[in-house]
Amino acid sequence: MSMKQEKLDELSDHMFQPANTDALENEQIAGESTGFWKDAWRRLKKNPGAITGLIIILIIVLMSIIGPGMNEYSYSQQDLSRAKLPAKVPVLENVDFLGLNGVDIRGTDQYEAKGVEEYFWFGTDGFGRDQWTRVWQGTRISLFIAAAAAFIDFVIGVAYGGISAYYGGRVDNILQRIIEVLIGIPNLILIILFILIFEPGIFSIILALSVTGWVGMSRIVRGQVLKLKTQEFVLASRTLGATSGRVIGKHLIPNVLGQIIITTMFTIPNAIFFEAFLSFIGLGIRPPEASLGSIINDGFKSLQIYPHLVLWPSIIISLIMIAFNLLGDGLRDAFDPKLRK
Amino acid sequence: MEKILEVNDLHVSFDTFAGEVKAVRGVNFHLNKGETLAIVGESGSGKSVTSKAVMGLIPNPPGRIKQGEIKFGDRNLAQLPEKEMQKIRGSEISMIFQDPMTSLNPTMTIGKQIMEGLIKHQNMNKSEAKERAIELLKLVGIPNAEGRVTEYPHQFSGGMRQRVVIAIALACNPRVLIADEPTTALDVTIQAQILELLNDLQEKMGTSIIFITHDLGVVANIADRVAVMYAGKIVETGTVDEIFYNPQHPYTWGLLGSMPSLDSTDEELIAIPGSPPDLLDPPKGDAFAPRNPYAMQIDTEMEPPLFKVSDTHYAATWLLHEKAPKVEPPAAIKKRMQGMAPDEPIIGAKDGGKHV
Amino acid sequence: MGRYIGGRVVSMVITFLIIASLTFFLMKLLPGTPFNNQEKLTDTQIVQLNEKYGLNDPVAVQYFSYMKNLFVGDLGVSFQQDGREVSTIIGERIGPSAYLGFQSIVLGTIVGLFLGIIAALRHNSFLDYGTMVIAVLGISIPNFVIAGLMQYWLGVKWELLPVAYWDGFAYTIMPTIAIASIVVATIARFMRTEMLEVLGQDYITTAKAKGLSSTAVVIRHTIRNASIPIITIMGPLVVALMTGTLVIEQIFVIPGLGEKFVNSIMTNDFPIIMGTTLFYSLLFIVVILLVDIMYGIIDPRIRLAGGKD
Ligand SMILES: Nc1ncnc2c1ncn2[C@@H]1O[C@H](COP(=O)(O)OP(=O)(O)O)[C@@H](O)[C@H]1O
Ligand SMILES: [Mg+2]
Repeated sequence: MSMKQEKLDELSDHMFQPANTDALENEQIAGESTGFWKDAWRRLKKNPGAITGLIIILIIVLMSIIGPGMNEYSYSQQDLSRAKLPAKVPVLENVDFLGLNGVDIRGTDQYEAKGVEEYFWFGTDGFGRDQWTRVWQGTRISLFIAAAAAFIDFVIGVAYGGISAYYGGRVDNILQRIIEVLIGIPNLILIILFILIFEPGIFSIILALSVTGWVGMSRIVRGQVLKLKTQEFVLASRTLGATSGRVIGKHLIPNVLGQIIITTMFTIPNAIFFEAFLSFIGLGIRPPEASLGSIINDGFKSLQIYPHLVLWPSIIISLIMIAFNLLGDGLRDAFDPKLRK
Repeated sequence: MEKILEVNDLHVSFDTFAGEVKAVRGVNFHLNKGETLAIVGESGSGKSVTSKAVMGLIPNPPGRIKQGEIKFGDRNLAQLPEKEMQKIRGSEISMIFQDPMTSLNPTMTIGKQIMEGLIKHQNMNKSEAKERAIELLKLVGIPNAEGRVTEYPHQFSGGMRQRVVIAIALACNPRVLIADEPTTALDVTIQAQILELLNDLQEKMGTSIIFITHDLGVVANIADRVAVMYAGKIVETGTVDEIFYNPQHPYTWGLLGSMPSLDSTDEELIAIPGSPPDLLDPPKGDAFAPRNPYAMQIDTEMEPPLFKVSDTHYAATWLLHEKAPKVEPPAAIKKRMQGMAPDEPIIGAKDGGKHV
Repeated sequence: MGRYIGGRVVSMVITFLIIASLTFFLMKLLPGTPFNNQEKLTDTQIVQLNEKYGLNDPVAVQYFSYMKNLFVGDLGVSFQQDGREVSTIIGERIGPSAYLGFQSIVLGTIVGLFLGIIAALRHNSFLDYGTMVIAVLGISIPNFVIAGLMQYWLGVKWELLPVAYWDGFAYTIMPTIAIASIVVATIARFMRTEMLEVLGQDYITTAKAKGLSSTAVVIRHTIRNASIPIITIMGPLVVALMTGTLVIEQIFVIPGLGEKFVNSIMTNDFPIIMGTTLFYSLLFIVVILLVDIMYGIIDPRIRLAGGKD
């Protein structure tokens, strides 16, 4: 701690004039919070996993819209003379390891053997239907089912959870008892029973998925609303004279909406999985309609000889699931940076 | 006076995504045998980081001791290998943390938590350790110690838990005890009890204490000397009397001014305007300048050195330079400085100011 | 604690009764009877069969006799298999499913815990990222896709493992991996999060400040505390296992309960569907109860408070 007093003596006098302390005011203005959504988006953009997920989702959704129309075959057009062809893609057929050259696992070029001139990008199924068209058609249906189920979950869940938390007391008590009973029942069982009663089809599957699906959403919404009802900043903005409308608009909605979006991001892959699962236990979409699950399930019957029938739809369903999970994780981090690990 | 611990030019930084956070930027202080040194400063000033550096508990990554030495006897703790450090931690230097509600393991009986250190450092077997644990619980004033030794933390109140934490820290008779805001999370009445307990224990065991707080109010009750910390540096250090009745640094004035005192209720509390600087990019010159109503040109350009006020009293402010204009401290501080001669004992101060 | 368990058992019984009634009435809502769809049967035969199985009684009568029988463990008889007892059929089929389920959960939990712990201790390292990738893949990729990939490559192409059926340990490997993948992924991820959470707790600093070695801190304070909440995800995991066995037994042609269940869905064998449904529900409810009790025993905060809340 030695002093260098001598050197300090050389300092010029003007240095000891009062300094301009305007900095003080500037400092207080800085640090104003940027918008909730902007903030979340900024954080999301920095997450490569989430962005990859988002891009995959966009591509798959786009393909599910335009994919079936990209060639001249329809998803139900049968032609046994060209059944069970492996995938064959122009140009890529020359890249050996991709296996897109129409040669089956025994090494026979099925296109040559059957005298087929056309290219089937994902091959054909047991009835000679174009697998490309069917897979994208199936993706469309799977995505539609999942989106519809997620939407119903959202509507019921938000209403139920919101009412429960908003009214509190007796209402909350009764509504929560009902939920307790519901979550005591494995959703798997409820879904199966439900589909058994209605004819298996797109709408009964959507309904069945929603029978229990909304419970998760309602609990999240209830939890969020209860938490926010008592949270300091809400109280604080009340004391500062903010109207409750403003409180709801500025604090409650963004926070609850964030949670809702995250939950939905996990509901969708879950619904897609369950829809596929139903196909496996014989309660899925009925032919000629097809979903990813039913296409894969059909493919399993001849997996040993025609693996391509399982392979392509499996890749797509896996990509969808991975993409939504990545995006969901990313959104969770983006909306709640405190949780970030 | 024997120096038991000496920290020289300590620099600690954290490498974060945003850049290097320079949390501690050249801290110097020492701790004499048997005394209590208070380190005071607003939150974020680097008190905890300093104490964790002494304990060798800076999490790495992201943290690292960039430079400096921590002399404890003939060892330099800043460079001691982890294995050696483990032998010192809990046996020669111990630490108490701020929040007793979170600093105990909720799934382990408090007895076991006290015994762990004893078994590790004093080669006790389980039954000896348990006996000692009960003794320690009695020592820190927990009634029915025999019964409570097998209870879990959630069965204790906050004040009682802090006593347990103190028992853990003192289990192996450490020479130095670092108490990092041990009363901040407690009710005022409990605070006083814990302070009293620490004073008692220090008398009984002769431990040297580093007492960290952001509240100058509790300092008078426990400390012999005070080091005031701001933005990762010690800006003023002196005996309790010197800091309370002859403060030199405008930041110390601010801290004193914002401290409520019992005798003069009509006095206005003056909060220090603004907030501490961003340690990612500390300002040039005196870090306190932007908040300092007395700031001069030089404060924005050069860091002030420590100016000597007395043998025990130093302050880092250009106001002590001979060319600096004489400034009037705020009224409340002036009243203090005049109202009491520096030599007069402070009411409530420990031992009436037995400092050196 | 005793009262707490008592209360939980009562609510468990009530839940089960609700499920049983729900199952019964939902079944009654089904269009027609199982015999309607069978072209081989004449109208008189259908009437006779309906009579034989009590399907002509008023619903209330059927309900009470169903509940009464349920009470003594009588789940009725199969429509399709010449009136064999449903409970016997379940008994015959449960073996492979239980084996698979047990092997999957034990294996999955061990691997998952291991990965989660390593990932957290090597936070932000290559191991951590690797584990997170495995976790995302395990949670995302459907078990039937994993099963298909293995069946084709390990079974058909490289002939390392039997493609299907149930005949010794080798036959259990692929199904177990397919079912356990989600368990590994879920537990690894959960454990990692819990570990990181615990590692950031003040009491870990306290433990370090005592001078404990890092191994002691990790084993005694971190892993122990981090693994307690794992019990709470066991309920969802058991459902995932149940879903898993239903699909995987189909794919690998394993003579388990899941395969039987799926077949009875396809043949409209209601007594078996109902019986199996109730069996699965009971299993689920019991697991949830055990989980709660276990949580209470392991976590002193709950044990001593005498229950959650
Ligand atoms: N693990 C860490 N990572 C990054 N910055 C940290 C970390 N720990 C402390 N800091 C920074 O160090 C500075 C001093 O913190 P601390 O010593 O805890 O202050 P206090 O004086 O309140 O105890 C703060 O600005 C804080 O942001
Ligand atoms: Mg601190």
